[in-house]
Amino acid sequence: MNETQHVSSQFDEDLSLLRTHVLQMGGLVETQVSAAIDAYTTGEISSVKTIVDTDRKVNELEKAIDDDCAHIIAKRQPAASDLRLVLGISKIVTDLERAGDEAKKIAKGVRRIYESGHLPSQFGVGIRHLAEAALTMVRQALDAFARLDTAQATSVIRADSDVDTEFKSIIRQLITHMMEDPRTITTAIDIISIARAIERIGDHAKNVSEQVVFIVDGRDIRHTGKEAIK
Amino acid sequence: MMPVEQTIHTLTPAISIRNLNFYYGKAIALKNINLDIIKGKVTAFIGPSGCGKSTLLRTINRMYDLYPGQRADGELLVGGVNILAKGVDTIALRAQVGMVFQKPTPFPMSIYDNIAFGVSMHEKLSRNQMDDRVEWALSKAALWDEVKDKLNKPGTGLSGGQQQRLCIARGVAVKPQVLLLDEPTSALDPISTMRIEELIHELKQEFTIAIVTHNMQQAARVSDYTAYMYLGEMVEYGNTDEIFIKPQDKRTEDYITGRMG
Repeated sequence: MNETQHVSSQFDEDLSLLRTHVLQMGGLVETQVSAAIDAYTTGEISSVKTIVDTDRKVNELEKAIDDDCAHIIAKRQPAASDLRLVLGISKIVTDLERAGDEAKKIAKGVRRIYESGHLPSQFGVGIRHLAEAALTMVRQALDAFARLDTAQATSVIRADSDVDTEFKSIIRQLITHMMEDPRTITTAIDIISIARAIERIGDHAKNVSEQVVFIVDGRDIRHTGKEAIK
Repeated sequence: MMPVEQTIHTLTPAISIRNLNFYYGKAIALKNINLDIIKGKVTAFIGPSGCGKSTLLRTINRMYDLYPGQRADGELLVGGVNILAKGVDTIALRAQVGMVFQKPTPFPMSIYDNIAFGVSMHEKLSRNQMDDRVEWALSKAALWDEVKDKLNKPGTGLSGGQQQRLCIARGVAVKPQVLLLDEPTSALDPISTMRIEELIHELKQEFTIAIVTHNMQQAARVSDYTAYMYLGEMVEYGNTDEIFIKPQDKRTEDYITGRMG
């Protein structure tokens, strides 16, 4: 990535502001995910409202950042690394916004479970662990973006397959529970949708990381399999 | 996308430049330039003022001959002939390699004669044949419809954009192999610029085009290959798509992203 300043300092400011906004948005999404996991573990369903409220801010930021990207393209005609940064960011915000939506889904699922008088922990499955792994992926993806660090981004991409494997194992366990005791089906389905949301958050973190690689190296490693990821 | 060094060698060059140096008196303006300009393609030369891109263009049709103290060494092959060698017929060379300049330079004569003048120096055509040639050239330059009813009016009476297209028509009238365009739109308004760019796209069906431009977006739009020059050196030469998204050299990157101090 090119750290040399532009002749136009205004252009530098525009790009730097754009990056700051993405990190702000990422910070909010990270908070949402983290709060949703806490709600799941503690049963503090009062935080659900906060998570939903934060989602509105995330949505607003997504629109604002996209608008900034359009303005930069129209005014500055960015090329090379600048172009990749703007294109990458406009994709990254889509993934961040969707990760925020997934956090909201988790929060609502948690509220349904607790309000129906159940405890998700009675299933004893590794949701908490799965969620921690996905949250770490989000943190590291944002970190990779902030520092334009492809090594970090690559490690996030690798972590995604672990999350996927863990997700599948949770689903298998839940299916066993449901077969053994049909009364658990309602709660188990909520937990499946929570696990699914967590797994999707991991996917979004992976997508963000892929964009970081594109921004820095100009390599498009989406849908390429493990070999292409250095 | 394959690196240009691999793809370019499989294509036919219209011009091959080997170890070219150019001097203004004692000052060296081009240092060891090596490059193939590919037939039937548009090659853009970009770089800051004074980097040597116009000098390179002027070398290709030996425009520099007109100025004492300017000389070139190395090889510059046009159609397999080293045009830097002694005894090259520069008049014939310039019929093969036409040039259009930054400012439109119509001759102070009628639109018709602007085209016919150059043609008559190289070919003996009947009045009818010449009429056809003038119409052909003006049509190629997308100017025919605008001027067909006033061919006897002076070329200088046209608008800037039309004058520039007239110069392009004059250039193509002698059926050159290569057209050199030295910042052909820098004096034109955006619509005239678009017309010229459209024209370049049309012309590359029949001619090889080399264009020098300060407008990076223009280079990105019109060219197949782009060469970035800096301080008389060829820094990077590659597929235009690649240069503008992922240049290999940091100096190219800095220039096209506006980071030159």
